[in-house]
Amino acid sequence: MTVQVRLARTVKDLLQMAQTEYYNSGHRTCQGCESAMVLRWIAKAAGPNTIVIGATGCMYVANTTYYTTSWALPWIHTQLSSTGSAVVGTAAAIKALIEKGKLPNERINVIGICGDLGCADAGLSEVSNAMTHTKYNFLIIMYDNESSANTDIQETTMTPYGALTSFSPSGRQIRVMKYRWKKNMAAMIAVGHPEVKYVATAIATDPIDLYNKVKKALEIGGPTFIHTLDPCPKGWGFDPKYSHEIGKLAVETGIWPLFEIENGKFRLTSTSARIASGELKRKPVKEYIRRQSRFKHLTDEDIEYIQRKVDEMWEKWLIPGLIPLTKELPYPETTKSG
Amino acid sequence: MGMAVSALEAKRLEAVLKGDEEVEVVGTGTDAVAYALMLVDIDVTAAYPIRPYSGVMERVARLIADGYLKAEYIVAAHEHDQFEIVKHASAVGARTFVGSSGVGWLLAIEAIVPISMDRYPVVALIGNRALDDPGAYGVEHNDALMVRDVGWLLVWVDTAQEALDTTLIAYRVAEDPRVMLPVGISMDGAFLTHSEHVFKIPPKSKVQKFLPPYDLGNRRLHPSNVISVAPQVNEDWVMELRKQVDEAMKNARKVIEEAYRDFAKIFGRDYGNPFVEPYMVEDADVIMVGMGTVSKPIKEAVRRLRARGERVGFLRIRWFRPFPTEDVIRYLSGARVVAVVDRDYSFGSPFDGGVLYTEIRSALYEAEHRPLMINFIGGLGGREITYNDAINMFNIALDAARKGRVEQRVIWYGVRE
Amino acid sequence: MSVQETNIYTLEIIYRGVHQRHLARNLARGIVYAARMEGSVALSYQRYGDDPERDGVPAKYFVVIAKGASEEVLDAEAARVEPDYVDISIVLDDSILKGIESWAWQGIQPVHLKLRANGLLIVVSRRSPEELLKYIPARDTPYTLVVVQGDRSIGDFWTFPDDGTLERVMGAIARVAPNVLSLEGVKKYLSSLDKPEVRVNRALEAYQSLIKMRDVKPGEGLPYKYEPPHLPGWKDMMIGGAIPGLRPNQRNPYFTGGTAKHYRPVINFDKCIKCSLCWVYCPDSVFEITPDGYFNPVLAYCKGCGICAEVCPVPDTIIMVDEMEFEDGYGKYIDEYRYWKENREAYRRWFESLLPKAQVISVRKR
Ligand SMILES: Cc1ncc(C[n+]2csc(CCOP(=O)(O)OP(=O)(O)O)c2C)c(N)n1
Ligand code: SF4
Ligand code: SF4
Ligand code: SF4
Repeated sequence: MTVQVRLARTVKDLLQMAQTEYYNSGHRTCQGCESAMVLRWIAKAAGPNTIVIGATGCMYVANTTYYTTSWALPWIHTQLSSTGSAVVGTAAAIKALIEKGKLPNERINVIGICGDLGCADAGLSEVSNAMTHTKYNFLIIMYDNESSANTDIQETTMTPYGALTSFSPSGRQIRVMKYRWKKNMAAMIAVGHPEVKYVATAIATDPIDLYNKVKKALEIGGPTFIHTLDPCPKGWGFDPKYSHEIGKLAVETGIWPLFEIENGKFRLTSTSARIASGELKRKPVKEYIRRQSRFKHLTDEDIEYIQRKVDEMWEKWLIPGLIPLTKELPYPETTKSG
Repeated sequence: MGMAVSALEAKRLEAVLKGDEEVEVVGTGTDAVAYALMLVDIDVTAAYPIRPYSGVMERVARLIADGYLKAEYIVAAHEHDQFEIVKHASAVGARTFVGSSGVGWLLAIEAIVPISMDRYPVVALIGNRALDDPGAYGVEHNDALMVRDVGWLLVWVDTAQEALDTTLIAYRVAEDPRVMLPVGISMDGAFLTHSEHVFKIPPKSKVQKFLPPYDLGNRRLHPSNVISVAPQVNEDWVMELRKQVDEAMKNARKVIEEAYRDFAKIFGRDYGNPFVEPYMVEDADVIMVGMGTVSKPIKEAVRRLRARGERVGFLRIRWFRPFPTEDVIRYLSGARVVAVVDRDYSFGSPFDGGVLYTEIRSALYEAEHRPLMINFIGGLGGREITYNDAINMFNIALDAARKGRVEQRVIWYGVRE
Repeated sequence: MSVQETNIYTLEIIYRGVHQRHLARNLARGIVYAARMEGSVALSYQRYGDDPERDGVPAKYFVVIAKGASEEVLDAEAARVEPDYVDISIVLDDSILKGIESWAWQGIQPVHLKLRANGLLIVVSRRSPEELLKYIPARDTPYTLVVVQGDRSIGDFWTFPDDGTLERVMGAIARVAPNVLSLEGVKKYLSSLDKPEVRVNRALEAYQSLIKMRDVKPGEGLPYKYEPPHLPGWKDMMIGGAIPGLRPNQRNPYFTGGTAKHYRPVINFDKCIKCSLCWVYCPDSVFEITPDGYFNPVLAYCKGCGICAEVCPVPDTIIMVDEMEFEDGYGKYIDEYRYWKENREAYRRWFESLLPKAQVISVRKR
């Protein structure tokens, strides 16, 4: 069953359905910050009946300079690791107060926003715990700029292989300090929390896809999760005007597959669906990597390695982007006894 | 575990929920707090297991399961999660309760501070417990004392009845618009959390007269009240925000007094001085000072020594934050020797004594007559302090009083050499 | 020499966050090293409030030099957020002359807010002092405007474009303020780096021929008066760090972010097909929808990222033009749409005059 909600199909729909700004001009983010773009479109999709919770990170520090705000929605800070806690506390309170007649009985969207460090590293246990509280309604958005950006770009588990960060420089002795592969966060939420009714990946470069996914997540209810990949001109090292283009390349090269899992149904969406159907050919990852100075030290062999890993995901994984078990694996594998 | 409510108790709980009379039950100190939570009708609570506070969460779970209390009960991922859950529930207007002990309280510290800085009137139970390492269950006060500087009101209770009553008072004080700060209720691990007492549960109808509904006013986070809470701040503003907390903490002294006065009027139980409990201090040459259940053996020692004609007394500090400076001066400055029993340590502090000793010493600096002072560090990790121990301590202090001088300022009482 | 007669000199380096972060830090450190090499004591610090830097947002470094003094002379200058006054302001990007907005409530500050009477304002620019004066607010006290000929140096978080700006600025200081930093000191420092000859020559070139100076009298410049903010006290602030939020579609009244831009979008409404992509993709919600369906950038809030120009499907319909082509600023900007509505012909000519100066749009699109 697909959830019944009015979705945008074209840019014109966006213009018509989402004109009002609830996260508006006057924040201190970088020029061309795609995380700010994500917030803007989440706020539009959610609309005025929403409470937003923001974890420490760029989207807190750069956004809300005290005694001013960029939010036209009720907004509150939460600690770096506590987005999961904050959405649960908020949603639980709303439920309790409605049931006791202390609040009118109407749906209030609860959205928690956390960066990759706050969500996938520091706050993983809270987020995971939150995802099991199926009697509450909330959406957690992990905006992934692939570093602890606010503290001047340090390595997180979501930093891609090989990227420069302030904690993973390239030096005379060691060329690639970030040798760990990026975690598969949306998949981890989906597979590890089977009661969750909506999990998706998205990117601000594709605002129609993002907007629709936020709408669906909020409509479908219960704990829901969206992971966005956000080109970060500061940390990734490119001219801010290319933010949009870099985001597109992330999808077109297949590095960032767009998908949704709705009530247990996996679906690649937008450009990624067209790649899977063969309508579009994946671009070489080099086109993406060579545009960012955080990868400037990588050799052609490094890039080939990354290309192989991406190819493997698309060609060998049980489900590209989701399940890294290879298709050749006998299923279920059995061990002969005796 | 959450022991089931017996048929007897069920009848009595129904009576306080529906009628106008108080009832008597038997239970632990943590049970008493749980019944208070039923009476104040909390909306949201978050639980995480750690001895010795967790009895309260077990009792609350039971009360919810059996329908005596309607509240969202959230089992958290860890204590930090727990405290953030209630902070955010409080922000949208829910009355909340939370608690922890020892290392659990410390794990939550990063979440505990924003609760006071954001001015949410959360009430917490701290079942006092020694900090790791090594792991230990027994009482020490260092867990609660970790937050003495960050805007939490802190109170120590020494009976189950006081625990129940103080919980009611805590909500009233915390939610007062002049205060709007969280309250931590400290309860000695084992000696109060796990011992059975007889106590009275007042009727809910009276509690409603005592405690107005929780109202955050223009700070309630709701789509009809668009505010931003705690945006990133720079040096232009931080001092003003801290100053607001300072004022609120100072206001709390007056609000606490009012609350105890009304409490006595409505419930008929009068605690006298809300901040400290003076016991035979009037003409005392030596006054011992302590917090929590150490009061029990010390009071017994006072009675025995008084019977022998020694002029000794005891002052129990109830509210540690805000600190009862005036009362400390009033009751202690007339004595020749003040002996502070610390169930805590503060390594490297001014005289290498305990926290309470250091604070009382600081308060007495303003007294016209400054008594001699001795500090007993004792009962750490849940070790007993018996009335015989207290008598020994008194004797040391009496000796100092006679000689007019203190030979050893800080004594680790009972420590093996 | 116009620097005040005192033993302690304070320099300020004003730059664009991230783009010029390496340049600013290297320059601050370089000045400290050079000062020490000629026997002075010196220290430097970044204005902490600017950290973490954001792409484009103006930021500051400070350097304090005490001539022939001992270390403790600097004590009063250490542990500061920012100094009370500076003797020399070095502006690494001429578009910063159009004002600095660092934090909410502080408003848009004139670039020379901290500059002492008779101080030096050193600007890296291709323009003459006369031209630059059109962007600088007038003030009550005189100062000297110094231009070091050079292009805007733009790097990124991982890249320091070693393009000679650092050496040229050091050469310029030695030229106009030898009492602060002598040419000998500069040479000594640069000789201690890699490629010493190239570096010393760059500094010498600036020293000898790339400097233009102009004394600026009180009252000369833009008629802009900076009003320092009146911040509310603790009794008037909401408690608990809460503050009133915005109304839907309201922009932040206390912080605009607009001084982050060195380029700005100019729209050719005649060619616009109203596709709305610029509106969709602007991370800063800059575009206002006009009653007849155009998208008008509210430039006060535009950070100049250039995304709108990149995504516009019609060639040369949104162009990114150097801020220095426009004399507006300090919070007040041209309303492009209104200008176009009022006089299409004039607007068309204006747009065409700007077109050759527009930044190149990415190759991929064309
Ligand atoms: C408990 C704690 N540890 C560290 C910090 C310092 N800190 C502030 S923002 C931040 C970065 C968070 O990174 P991420 O969640 O990825 O968000 P981003 O800044 O990248 O947007 C860190 C580590 C903090 N605020 N709190
Ligand atoms: S560092 Fe990256 S995520 Fe942070 S404000 Fe800048 S562009 Fe946005
Ligand atoms: S340059 Fe364009 S996209 Fe960037 S902030 Fe300005 S109006 Fe928005
Ligand atoms: S993107 Fe270009 S064509 Fe489309 S509305 Fe904006 S200015 Fe007009």
